[in-house]
Amino acid sequence: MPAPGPDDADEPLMLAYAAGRAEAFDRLYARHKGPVFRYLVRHCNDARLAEELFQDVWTGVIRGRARYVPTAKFTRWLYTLAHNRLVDHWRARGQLGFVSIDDEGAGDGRDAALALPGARTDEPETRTAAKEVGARIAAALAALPAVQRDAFLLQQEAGMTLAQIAELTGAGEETVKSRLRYATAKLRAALEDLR
Amino acid sequence: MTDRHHPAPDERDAALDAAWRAYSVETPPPALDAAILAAAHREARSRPRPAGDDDALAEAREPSKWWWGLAAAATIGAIAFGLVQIVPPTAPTEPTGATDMPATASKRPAETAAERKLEAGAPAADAPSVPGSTVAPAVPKASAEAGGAMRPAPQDRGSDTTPTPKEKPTPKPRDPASVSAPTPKETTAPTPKETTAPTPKEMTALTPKERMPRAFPAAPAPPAEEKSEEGRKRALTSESATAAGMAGPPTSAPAAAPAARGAPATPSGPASGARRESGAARDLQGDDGRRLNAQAATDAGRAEARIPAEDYVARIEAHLGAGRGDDAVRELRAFRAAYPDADERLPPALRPWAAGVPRVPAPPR
Repeated sequence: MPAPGPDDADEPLMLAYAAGRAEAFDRLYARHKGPVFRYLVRHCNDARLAEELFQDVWTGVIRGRARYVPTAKFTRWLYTLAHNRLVDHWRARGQLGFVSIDDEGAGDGRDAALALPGARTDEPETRTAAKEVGARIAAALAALPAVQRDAFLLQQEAGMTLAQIAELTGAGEETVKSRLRYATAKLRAALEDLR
Repeated sequence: MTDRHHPAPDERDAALDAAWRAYSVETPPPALDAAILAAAHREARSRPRPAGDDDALAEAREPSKWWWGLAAAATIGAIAFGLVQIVPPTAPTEPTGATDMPATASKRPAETAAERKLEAGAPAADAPSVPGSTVAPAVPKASAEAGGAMRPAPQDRGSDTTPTPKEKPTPKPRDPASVSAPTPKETTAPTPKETTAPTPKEMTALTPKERMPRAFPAAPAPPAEEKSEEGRKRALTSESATAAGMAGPPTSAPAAAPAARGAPATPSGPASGARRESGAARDLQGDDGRRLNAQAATDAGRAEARIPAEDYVARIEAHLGAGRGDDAVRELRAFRAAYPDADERLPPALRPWAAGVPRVPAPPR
């Protein structure tokens, strides 16, 4: 197998790493470490916890390299590991994770989203960040329902399409489209005064 | 961010995307990156292998073999020990334990052979009816020359009072009673002195009945030697005294015969000696026994010196009275052998007859 180039797709790199080429993993890690970490940080709203989950996700990638089959995109497999790790973490803490809050029935969806971790606006760092755009975005994101936030993050950080997000989350594309619409609207509203 | 993806523009807000890109820039700490990369490289070097190819695991599952050599050595040692115990020794080894046998038995085959001869001769000595059989078989030539070789054998001298270095140190003379009846515990061959006949002093202290059985057994050498020496002297004196009146040559041979026969002086054992003694005592009861003894003494010419002169005279008279001239002559010769002055001891009536009986010529020295 030739040495992995800088423009190689993720799947050949993962196969190269599974074949024992550590430099392939270096390229994969450099390419996906930021989005995965931010995906976890935005969900946890806790950098230390995010680091722990981030390490677990990549450890899963390393240990699961022999089971990797390139039938789908590498990003889907990578974010599936991250998504499942988050679900496990929330279930372990007894918290409701990705509740199925449909945007159409959103009467009390806001309250449910605010009850999720990361949606607490009274956090000191949230309040500090709110002073800036980023802080507003973070606060708006944290205020989003988990499923909407998860769909928004998968779209923004992982660059997934509606179909990929729907496949990863196990929801329909229309559902994912609705979640994205709700999430975008809320974030847009949070940044309305900044424009 | 180079890894920023831009999905379909639908449902997207450009301002929101730009604000998001400006905001979402966090990356994992370098320490975490290094740890993850190190783990990835470590795992890449140790590629997962099929379970069947795991040599280390296979070696770990193998039984330990370090004790195989030890077990083999122990087995070989046990087999060798068993073989040594089973196989009989091929070469006879010197006995190391205590034994009643003489320590020099194996080193002196000649003596052993002589002892064997003595042992073989012991049963013959048990036969009391054959007086000649009491002669020790160790010196067959001497018994063959029963007629009269007065010459003492060299070994006879050796077996005298001074034992050769090969012989055991002889114990001191014991009481005659102990000689006649040895205890069963005396398993060792008695030395010549043990069966030594009593000295002339002892003989005088003994009664004639006591003397008879003692004279009959195999005469031990040293006393017989002494006796022979004495007899030789007596014979010489008698010869010198009666040389003029004697027709035949001096007859000192019969006197030497007992010494020659007794010279071997190698008793065949105390047990056989005791049997011999008792047998002789049985045979010597009565006149028949006396006659047999006299005949034996005449034939063998041994130990007759112990018989009193009166007995000889009585026998000669009896033979002559019965008309047995040959027996009388034989008795006279035995009398002469025992007593150099036998003719002088004869009653005057028998002296003319005795003068007509020639003396046995002495063997050349």
